[in-house]
Amino acid sequence: MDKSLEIQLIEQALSGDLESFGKLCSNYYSSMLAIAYSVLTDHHLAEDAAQEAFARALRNLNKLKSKEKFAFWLARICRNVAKDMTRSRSRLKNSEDLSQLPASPDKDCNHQAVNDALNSLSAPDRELIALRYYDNLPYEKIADVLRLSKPAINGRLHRARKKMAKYLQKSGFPEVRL
Amino acid sequence: MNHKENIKSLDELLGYTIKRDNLKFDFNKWRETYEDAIHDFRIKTGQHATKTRQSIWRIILKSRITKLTMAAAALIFVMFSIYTFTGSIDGTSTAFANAMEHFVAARTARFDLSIEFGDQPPQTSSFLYDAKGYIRQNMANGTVNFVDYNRNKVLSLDPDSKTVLIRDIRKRDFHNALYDLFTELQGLIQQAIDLGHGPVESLGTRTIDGCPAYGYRVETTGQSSSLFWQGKGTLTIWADRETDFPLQLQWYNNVTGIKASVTNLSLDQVFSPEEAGISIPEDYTIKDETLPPPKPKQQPDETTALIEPEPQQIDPNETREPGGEQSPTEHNDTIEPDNIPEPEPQQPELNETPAINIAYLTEGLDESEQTLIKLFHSWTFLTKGKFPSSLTVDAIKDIDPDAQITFKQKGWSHTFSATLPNYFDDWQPDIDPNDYTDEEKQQAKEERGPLHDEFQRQFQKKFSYVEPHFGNIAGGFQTVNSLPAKSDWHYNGQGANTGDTDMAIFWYKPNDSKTYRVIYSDLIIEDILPEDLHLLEDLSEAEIDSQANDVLETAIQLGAQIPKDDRSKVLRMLSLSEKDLIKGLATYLEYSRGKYPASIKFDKKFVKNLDALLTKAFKDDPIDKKTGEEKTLDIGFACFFYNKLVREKKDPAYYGDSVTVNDPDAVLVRWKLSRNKYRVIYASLEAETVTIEQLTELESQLPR
Repeated sequence: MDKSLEIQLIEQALSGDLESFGKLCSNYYSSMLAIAYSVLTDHHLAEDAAQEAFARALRNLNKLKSKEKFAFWLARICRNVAKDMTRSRSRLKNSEDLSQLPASPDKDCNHQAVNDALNSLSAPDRELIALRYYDNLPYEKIADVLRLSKPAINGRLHRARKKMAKYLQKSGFPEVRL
Repeated sequence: MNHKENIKSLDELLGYTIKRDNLKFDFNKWRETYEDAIHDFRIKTGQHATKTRQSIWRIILKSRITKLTMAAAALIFVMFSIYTFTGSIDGTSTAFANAMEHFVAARTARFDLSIEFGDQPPQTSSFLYDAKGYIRQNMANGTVNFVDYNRNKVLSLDPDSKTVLIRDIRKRDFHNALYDLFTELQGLIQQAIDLGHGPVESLGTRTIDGCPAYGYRVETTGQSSSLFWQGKGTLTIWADRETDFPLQLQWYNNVTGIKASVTNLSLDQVFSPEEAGISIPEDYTIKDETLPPPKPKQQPDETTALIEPEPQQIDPNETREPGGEQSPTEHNDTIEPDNIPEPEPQQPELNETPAINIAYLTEGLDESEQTLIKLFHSWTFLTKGKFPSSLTVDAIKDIDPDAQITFKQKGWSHTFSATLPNYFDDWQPDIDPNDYTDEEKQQAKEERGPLHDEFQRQFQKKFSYVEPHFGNIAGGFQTVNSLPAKSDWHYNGQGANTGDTDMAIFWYKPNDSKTYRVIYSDLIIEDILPEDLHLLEDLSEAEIDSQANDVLETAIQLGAQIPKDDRSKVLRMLSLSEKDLIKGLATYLEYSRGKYPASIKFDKKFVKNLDALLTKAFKDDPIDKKTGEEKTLDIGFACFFYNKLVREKKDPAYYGDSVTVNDPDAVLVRWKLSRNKYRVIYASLEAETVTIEQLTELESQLPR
């Protein structure tokens, strides 16, 4: 979404246009899912968190200090919502979580290993990986959400993948040897 | 498998693990789920929608216990709102001010108060108000409430049950607000008139109660600590055209949609003895809750606690002003004040109201801060010490996880009803379910509330203990919502509890203040300089990175000449963290055979020693220039982080001159995080946050 259009939508939302806010939500839905997933590692809970984040954002839209930083602000809200949810996670844990349901024994093995490698990363790195792979988000959108430059994203992604590879290697994972 | 294939393989694995297809946000479904958020949004954007707030009011009004509180506070909100108007006085304003002066000087008032909201029928009562210390309220259903501030008692006559309930108003949260605000109100109105505010809109003339009257309208700011009169509103006053004497007041709250009207107003009248006191009919049963509880052996049945009814009259004038002249309204057959038993000290109830216990916390604070303290106090009371997960209504889930779902689906009223029993874990109504017919049971189930009188009595008794907490919480949220953006308020209480005695929970910058006000988890408020705010904040790494990036981008935009190759170093410099310290020290250890540098002050001496160390380390295995640079930088950034701690006056200390890797549990570096907490890096390079007492203990064990 064009930045000027986004600012226009924010202004319209601030003046009470709910549909404009809906468009903003649609635009950042996958980003918020990714951020929530990086905290919760559960797709269903991530959806809940993203939607809850939109609700909080709507309530606090008048507190948004810089319209240019809407995505960054939204991401912070989403991160906080997800963190809140981790506290009550045992209660909310969804048995249908796809990240815990293997498609096949081989894939299950891979899946677990990758999840472990993901969890070995720092929270920001995990978030970056999730943003990149959740919905193949372009660097431009990730840059918006994290307020980082594209080279910085590239560098951090590279290092994060390297760390994951190293972790997988250490764990005796056969496929990846970076 | 080559490098490229490995990346592809990892990409595939990540895609399989994380990727989701066909992600689409269903906005319509979201709207249905988050009606409450949309409702709040509409209010904030000035769109009229009062459903949720009305629900709160319905609950308040449905409670017989809260009716008096509501009515009394509503009276004050009408009165209080008078002085909150803004602007400057012109000709109209002067006439308006003249009308207001009658209020300022008034010692007594008689009026009818009607409160309307939504589709609810108006709640109307007649009031007598005497600034010397009492209010009498005659409700439309015949109930009479008499608040005697000098004796701290409320008497309620209920004609239906023919009972008189006597309660101690010190156990109610409205007492101080009601009484003190009236005196304060008069001073503040006077102040507002003296200072000159406006604009006041003229509404022309109209006949009110047969008198030609001028109308005035002012916008009120609604800056108040109480739920009842908060929110921006419009105050309309009609005053006698000849005397400027106010005849009618109407206040409309733009936020809640509540309309309060004061009519049949007369000021400074002398009340008759019958009006100024309260007669208790012979056939009424007195239930005095201010009396000590009956001893079980002597009074096994609760009804024995009741006092035998006698014809009596209570005259509040009698003891209002000790040593003063007797009031002309004195009656021979009134109850002598000494005959009204004073409450004896009682064992505190499990659910004692917070108003009693937090006076020392709120003393001297302005009203806004008092509401914040009450909010946190009540919240932690109900959640056994946990602070809200956020300062929005979403946090209701902290009190009851299921309440959030109820709240989303059905709004506040059901949430309250469904949540209340959770506070009464130890309570079961002392009634026999077999006493109910099936029809009654079904009705009770549908209404989600108690049906039987006894059940209701017991329930209300319990409810009276938690009701002030709800008031405190609602009032606190209102205060937070009314804080302007420039107050830069910040809530940091997620996950905190009352045991974290030095944790900053909330801070904000009062209007025109140079310092911030910080509420700690022990609910003590302190001032803090803006430059010390960082001591309170716990920024995530992503936030630090992001801020660093912002600074760098701004610097470049402003013309800073930073070569592209060096930008990563600048970014790292801008986002220094304890990780840099640990990494640098670990790098140093690689080449120093287990010895830490004696000092991490980055000066010429340090650079010279480091150069010698690395040269010696790579004497037989020369490393390439780039690796050497990286190692030096890693160690350098550790020093830079420490220098940063020194600059920020975080009380850092480094013990590398005496501590080695052989003392893994010894403190190597420490610095201050907050009032009572320090961050410690041990010689093992493990990090931990400790209290100041723990640090003292740790440092006493350092090798000499």
